[in-house]
Amino acid sequence: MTVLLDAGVAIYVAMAAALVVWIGVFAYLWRVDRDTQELKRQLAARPEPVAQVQPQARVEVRTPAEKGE
Amino acid sequence: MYQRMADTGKIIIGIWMAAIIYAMFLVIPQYVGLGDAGRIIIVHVPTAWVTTAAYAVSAWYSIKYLRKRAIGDDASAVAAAEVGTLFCIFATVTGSIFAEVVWGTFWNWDPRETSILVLLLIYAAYFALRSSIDDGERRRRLAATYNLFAAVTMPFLLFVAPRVADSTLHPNCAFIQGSKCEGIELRQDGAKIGQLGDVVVELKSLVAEGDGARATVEVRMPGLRDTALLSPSIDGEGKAADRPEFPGQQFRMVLVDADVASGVVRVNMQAPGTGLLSNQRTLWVFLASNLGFLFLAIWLFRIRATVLHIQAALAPWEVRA
Repeated sequence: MTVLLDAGVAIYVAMAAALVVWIGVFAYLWRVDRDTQELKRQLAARPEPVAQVQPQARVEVRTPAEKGE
Repeated sequence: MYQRMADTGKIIIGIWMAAIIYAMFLVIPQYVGLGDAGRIIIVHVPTAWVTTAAYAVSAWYSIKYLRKRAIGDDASAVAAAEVGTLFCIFATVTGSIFAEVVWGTFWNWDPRETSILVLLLIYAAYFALRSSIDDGERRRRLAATYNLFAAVTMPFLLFVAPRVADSTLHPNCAFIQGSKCEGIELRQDGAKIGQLGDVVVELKSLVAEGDGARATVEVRMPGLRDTALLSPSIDGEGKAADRPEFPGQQFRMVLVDADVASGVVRVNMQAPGTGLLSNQRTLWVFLASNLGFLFLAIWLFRIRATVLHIQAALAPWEVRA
């Protein structure tokens, strides 16, 4: 293990570690980007939400004459 | 077609950044006095500059929001501020690692360290403000207004404050000639004593040495905790030759200019890292790194902005549900 920290080797180890981290970050970003683009497409294909309809009621009072009784 | 171009661009970013990492470790030379620690500049400085750009973009979208009240502009402002903060943290951490290797401490409240911490706190307050207001319209309006004030402080904290400060270990002169980069003039028959930062320097003697010159300068550290006689020299071509180290510090005393006949010298203190970019390979890798990080930030911004736009677009559906 200590051979990895030798003066001549350490810089290659550091570079390899940085590259591995970057490849991981890149792969993650690629995946998140692809998923968000897909979500965006799906969202664009959905119909626009309709405006909410408020419940309404009307009370009518009719006399018997009005009812035709 | 657009999607294919975008994908190609992302792959180029991936390869570009991998090449930067390779070049950072194996192409650019070691810097004398810094060793391998100097390589971190390829990451540290570009991330700090991208921070500036991201915060400026965030402020631009906040202005747009305040003018048009479009939710999408607010989402873009948040996305840019988040990317800026991410890069700001990255710049702070890489700077801290550099400080530990070169100055012997992760954090020493150097003016630039302090100012970047204040900037981080200012933007942390921006996110805290957003999360503390439930009403959507009010949250967006107040956050956009606050963001403009935050953006105004940014250039002062990143560019002005660290250069106004007298004492900084930061190698400012490596990049931009600032007010403290020209050094001070001392005269044998006049003003022998001057001040570099909080260090008092006194010219003791000046003698010719070959085609060049050598000065003997007494330096007195703050509180007289250390005094030393340093002998910086300059060669016949006007380049600094001997650059002795300040007592207990990693600064070096440099003879910038000397006129033996009239007994006038110009001396300066150099922090580690000064002149780092005078090497062509380092300079090109540094510029390429700036470009790479800029496009990486743009990609991150687009992803985050898309997510926030989706959230904003879904809001009416959530209300109906």
